[in-house]
Order: sequence, then C-alpha cells, then structure tokens
Amino acid sequence: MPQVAEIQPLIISSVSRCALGMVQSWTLGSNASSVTQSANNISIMVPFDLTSHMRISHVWWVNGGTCSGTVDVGLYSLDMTLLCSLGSTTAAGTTAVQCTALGTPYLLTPGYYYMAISVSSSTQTFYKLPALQIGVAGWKMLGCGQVASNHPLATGVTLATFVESGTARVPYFGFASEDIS
Amino acid sequence: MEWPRQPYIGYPVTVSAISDEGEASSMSAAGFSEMRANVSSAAAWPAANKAYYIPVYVTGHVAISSMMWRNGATINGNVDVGIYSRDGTRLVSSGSVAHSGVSVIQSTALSITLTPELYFLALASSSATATFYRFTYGATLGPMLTQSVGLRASSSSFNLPASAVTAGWSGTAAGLGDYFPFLAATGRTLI
Repeated sequence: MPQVAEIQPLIISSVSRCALGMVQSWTLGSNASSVTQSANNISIMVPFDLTSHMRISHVWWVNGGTCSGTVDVGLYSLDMTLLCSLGSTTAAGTTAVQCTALGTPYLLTPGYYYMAISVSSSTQTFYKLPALQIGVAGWKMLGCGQVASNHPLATGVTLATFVESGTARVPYFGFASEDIS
Repeated sequence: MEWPRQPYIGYPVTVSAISDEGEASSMSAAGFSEMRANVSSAAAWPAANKAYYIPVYVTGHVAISSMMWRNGATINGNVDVGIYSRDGTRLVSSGSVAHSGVSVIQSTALSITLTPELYFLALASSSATATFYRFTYGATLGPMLTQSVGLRASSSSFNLPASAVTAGWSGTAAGLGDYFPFLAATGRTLI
C-alpha cells in the first residue's frame, strides 16, 4: 500500500477552498470592500474542513480604512468549544493585513471546525466579501453563523443564524502555520 | 470542501502560480475579479535583482523538467527561476538565463522530482525594465491579497539565493507590491 504524506497548509482563510472559496466563485457579483461589522462584540463564524494536521502559529485579518477597538480571531470545534484564540488585540494599520502570533501555537487535527472573528467596535472596518448574488441564503447554506456578545471570543457559546444586511458580511481573515508578514 | 487535498499518486501536468496547486487560486473565488480582468497585462519587474516566491501545494509525485513564464514587450537583463522548500531552501534553479522573446512564453530547463509537500516557485530578474505578464489587483487590494495567500519576496536575490531566509524573504505588503508573477513548472513539453 503506498504511503502518502500529509501536507501542512501554509494558510487557510475564509475564502480558501476548504471554507467558502469554491462556492463563492459561482455566486459573487463584485469585489471585497472595506466595511464595518454589523454590531460591536459580534463574532462571525465560518466553517471549514481540515484534511491534515496544522500547527497554527499566527492569525490574520485585513483591516479596512478605519481601525478602532480590539479584534479577536480564534477556532471553535463544532460544539462551540473555543480551541484557541488570539485574545483582544488592538486593530492597527489601516488597509493592511494584520498578522499576529498566538501566545502558544495550536496543533489542529483533521476535522471540521469554525474560524471566528470578533471586534469590540462598530466603527472598525474589515475587508469583507461582497454579498452573494443569491443573498443571505447562500451564507447560511454554506454553514456560516454568528454569535452576539462574543468579544473576546468565549467558549460554550450558542451559534445563531447568520444575518446578512448591509455591513453584515463575511470578513476576509484566516490563520497560518507561519508568519505571513 | 477539499482543501488542502490529501496527497495521491498522480502526475500533475503543471504546477503553477494560479492552478489548483496554489492557495492563490482561491483569490479568484473571493470576489477579487481583478485577477481575471488583468490577467493579460505586463509590467516592469518591480526592482532589479528582486525575487518572488509563490507557494504551491504539490499533491502528487511529479518530475519537473522546465519552468516557464511569459515575457512582456520589453526584453532586458537575465532571469533565474527555481523551486524552494517550505523552509526557504533552494532545491533547484535554472541559473542565469537571458531574458529573451517579446511577449512570448519563455521556458528554461531544470530537473527535480517533487514529492507531496508545499513548495515555492521562484522567479528573479536582474532588470527593473524587463517586463513580465503578471496578475494585478490594484494598488490597494493587490499587496494585501498577495500577502494573504502567502507570497514572499526578497531583494538582492539574483541569482536566486541558496537560502531565501538568509536573503531576507518576507511577505510584507510593501515588499510584494501589486505584482503577482505568472510562473509555472512542468514535466511536459508544452511550448
């Protein structure tokens, strides 16, 4: 039987093909743009699957034109257990990728998870994916959800229905096995 | 929902910056339609002796016999292409070859058999006036997008250095700029 090796990903993002990427290519009608979260302290949850082990050392997001408050990025199991997170971190550097090291790298095993991002301020902007041509149903059918009052990210939260309206869209963010800055 | 794919026994025809092997291919799925709009544009290499490194996931064993890129209208200086391991070690390179052929695909021979792993395809130019076809996403989005899919660049890197780490490769947006070289490796005769 042939032996095959795992390939540890360098980066996984909300638009990677293991997350929302492949499906989006069929349904997006415009480009990413800088917009605020729909509310402060809300977290957006994006499902993804991982087929190999990955030592996560850094998380990142893309700031828009306004930086305000603190941001948190983390990973959840499907039962909403918080596996690892950055913790509240000051958003800094407009119109730029902000990449930050986790305090302790986390070894993620193959499986299904959520990546999550939250922000304390309703004026902080992120580069976000455009609205789907098929509307919010698309995000819901892809498995996206949200959690109110979840900043910094906490464990044991209850996943709620994703709401897309105006600024309530999916940020472009992710995590990496190396520093990408 | 299949990324990263598990390795399998197969023989990819090409390994390129934008085909299925690259995280960058997800960029076109992110609403960044500039990738398609500007696919055919050429521009001067951002700086003399600068090298770009593009991550690709090779999921099958593949014998590489050449690398190729597309020249723009201005031919100048020399080019060096190669393949690096994920830790920045140069595995193979062509060495300096003359930039040659207006607006054509140029290729050069090299030889390596890749096993399933993450690699970086690399291209360096000795000239800042030589033009190459590349992807561009605009001055605002471009640097952020190339950074977010793992591209890296280093200065003073012609010929391609034995260690990209020692050469100071990084993924900073300022270093990458709005420039995503179109580069591929293959084991076939395609041009």
